[in-house]
Amino acid sequence: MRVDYGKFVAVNELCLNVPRGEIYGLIGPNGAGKTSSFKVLATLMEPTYGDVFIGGIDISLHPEEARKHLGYMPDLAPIATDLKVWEFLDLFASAHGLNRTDRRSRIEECLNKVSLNDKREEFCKNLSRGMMQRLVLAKTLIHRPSLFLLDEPASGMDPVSRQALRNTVRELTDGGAAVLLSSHILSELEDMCTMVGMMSKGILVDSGKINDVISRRSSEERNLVISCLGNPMPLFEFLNNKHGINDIITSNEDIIFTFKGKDDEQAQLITGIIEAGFLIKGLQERKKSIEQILLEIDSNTSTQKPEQNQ
Amino acid sequence: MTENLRPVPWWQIWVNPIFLRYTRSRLRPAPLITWIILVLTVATSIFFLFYYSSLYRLKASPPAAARDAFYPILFFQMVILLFMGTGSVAGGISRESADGMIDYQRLTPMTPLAKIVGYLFGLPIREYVLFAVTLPFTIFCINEGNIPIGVISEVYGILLTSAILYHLTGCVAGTIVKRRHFAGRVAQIMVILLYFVLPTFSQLGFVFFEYLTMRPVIIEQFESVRGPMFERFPSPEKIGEVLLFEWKLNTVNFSLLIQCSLIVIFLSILYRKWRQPTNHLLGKNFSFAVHLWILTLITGNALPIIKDETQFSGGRSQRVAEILIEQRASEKNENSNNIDQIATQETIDTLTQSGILASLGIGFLALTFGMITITTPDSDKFTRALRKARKLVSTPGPDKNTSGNQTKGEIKAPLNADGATGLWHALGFSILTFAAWSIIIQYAPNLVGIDTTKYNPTILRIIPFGLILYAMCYHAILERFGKRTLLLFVILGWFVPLLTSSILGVRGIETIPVLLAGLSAIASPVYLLVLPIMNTSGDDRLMQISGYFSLFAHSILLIFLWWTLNRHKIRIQKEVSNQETSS
Repeated sequence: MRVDYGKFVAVNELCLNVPRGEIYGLIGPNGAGKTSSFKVLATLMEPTYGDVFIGGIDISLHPEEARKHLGYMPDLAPIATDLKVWEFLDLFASAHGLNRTDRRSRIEECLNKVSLNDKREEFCKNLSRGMMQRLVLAKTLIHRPSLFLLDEPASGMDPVSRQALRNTVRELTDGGAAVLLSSHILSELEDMCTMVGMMSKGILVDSGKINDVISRRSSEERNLVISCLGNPMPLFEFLNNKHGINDIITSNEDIIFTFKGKDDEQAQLITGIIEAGFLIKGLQERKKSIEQILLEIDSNTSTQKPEQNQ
Repeated sequence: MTENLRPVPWWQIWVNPIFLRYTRSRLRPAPLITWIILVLTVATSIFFLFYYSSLYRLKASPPAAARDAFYPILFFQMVILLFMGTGSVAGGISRESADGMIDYQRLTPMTPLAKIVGYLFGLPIREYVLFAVTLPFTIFCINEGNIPIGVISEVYGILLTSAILYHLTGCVAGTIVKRRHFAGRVAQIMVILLYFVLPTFSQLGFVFFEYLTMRPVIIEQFESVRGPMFERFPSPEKIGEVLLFEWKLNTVNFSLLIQCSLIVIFLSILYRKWRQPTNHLLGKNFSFAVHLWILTLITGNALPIIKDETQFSGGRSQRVAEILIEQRASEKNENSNNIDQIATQETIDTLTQSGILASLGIGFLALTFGMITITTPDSDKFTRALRKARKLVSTPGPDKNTSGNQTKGEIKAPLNADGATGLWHALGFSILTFAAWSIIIQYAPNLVGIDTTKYNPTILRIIPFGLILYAMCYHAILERFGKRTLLLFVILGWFVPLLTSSILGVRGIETIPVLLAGLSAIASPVYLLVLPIMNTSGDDRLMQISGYFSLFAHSILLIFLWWTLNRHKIRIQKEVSNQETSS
């Protein structure tokens, strides 16, 4: 799909598929087009071009039908500050058509899931930011949708709440739901998501199973850590002159650097170090983190495609 | 996993989730009790102030004193329901919108109508309760003052419809204006406009504005309810029956007709905005019906006024005419004794009539501009509609019947779609405007016995075409270049000549101001009315020259605008087509 705001292209040729049971993390820096994408998926905005299907329903043709399957938690999720916690959930439970008896049990169930049972009678305005996020998550769960759109669900949450969020999201996918979420806390996403899509300047640069994306992005360039016995500086000087080695630093007895080359070239490099007489205690190959990949992608799209958004 | 749940129907207000949400939040005991005490204090003070003043100072009987207290309490109830209630509705809706809560509601399966009803009666729930608190005073006044039940039902019936109308005004203001505090103020300003400003336009022929308020009904019933205290004040002039073409309508019925019409229009706006926030305020076809209805009301009200010389001679328009004659006399350095003679020669009625005809022309044009603004899509919307139409054509299923127009291999959005070109509807609005002004112009001279031999009958018949020309220019700029460019054009092209002309006129410069003002579409009805006059000289001659030049310039502009608009649409169609081919 594509989303234009006048002449500005906010989302360009975004194409993704979130199967049931998967947690799909949509990541990207600010202005990458995540929130616009979420708004389109949540039927709050029409795309300029493209098609979106939720459970086989075309959302531009049948938005009302599609909404029954949707649970949407926006970025900086707002709440009704003049309501109590249970009243807030009751509002949406009844708006979705649950009868009085079901509402009561469903509210309890959702409050349990987000660990807010003890705040049932509290006014929403008295909750902390993290608790508010949890409350909105509970609201999103109340009608048991099959697709969850969670835009920055973990923002403002403490580590305990994040752990609870992770568990809740996993429970949802175990139950057959699909979850599409975005987050700035990338380490969080790495732990939680089964699939990932990386956006930059409105473009989906890479997408797929999280390990596949990391492997794909790490295949040509990897981080190596060599632990020396004694002073690492001679080895530092040795490596500094080698072809394909970048970003080299020393940390205590370790030398950390990125190596760009194929597997056999990496083997030749290690053999060369040993043959040169350096005493090596250990060697570690680190795959890139999602954060590193994203930073690279962002800097690449900044330099390569500045005209894309014109 | 998704459950098949049934949301509440719109009419079951007692279980409406949004209504219940506000009964909870706005009727919490602590703030409610404070408000009740405050309202009771004010209501009690008002009641006893008027009741005892009448009873003890004017030595009135208890029934007469009770009648004296009736209107002040009613006025206080109007403040609560119409002013405070409207502010609550507008503020509440815009707060929901600014916070993003409205997006949650948009995603719930409640019908748009159920959501509107929930907000409409839920947001001002506290004001309804406070209104109820003042009712014992009203009941006492009715009972003690022997006020006829017919009067009460008429007054409170109109209060109820006014409250719904004004709360809907608040809902619309809150939905359209995003800044919450601003929306509350906008709604309250709208109420003040509706009550105090718009009714003054009734003297310029826009009679129905008067009936948006409770004033006509209160004036109608004032004499039958007032006590000795209000008898000391002059009784407001009764409006009596409302004339609509040949029909005579009761004041209450006409008020109900006008208010209910506006309620339907506002409900339609909200319904559309709830379905999709990017929707136009009104659908294209519905706007057409609304335009026709408003023109019918204005024309229907204006014709009898023009026809009836006694009504026609009164009011502000006549005063304006008198001032104009006095100015002309003083310009000609004639002494004041000759003013009466000049007045007789030129006839005040002729000028008053021209004033009403011109003001109706300006009003019609403004209404047409408004309708065009509402229904004309921008490029984004046009693109989206085109895409959707193409998609519907290629998608098998029940929606295919409602898909776009397919002509000569080109797929276009259905004519009534928001994103479809506004050209045909703009033309429709303009033709209706042309028809309404034509009717008034053709009938008016004969009705008041003006010497029609002074006019060229052919030109008199065709001058309303001028309004079509200006309206179509307005549309073409809007659809091709967008709102910002249109605003710039209106300011520089239409307002600046008018303002410059006024400034030069005040400085005593002749000729140029008359020529300059004619360039403006805003002054066009005045200039168009001068075109059919034969054997003109002086200012009238200059006005004719300027009027013809303006028509010529706008014709050339329109041809250029249509050419560029057509190119623009073809470019978008190609872009959509290319985009779909590539994807």
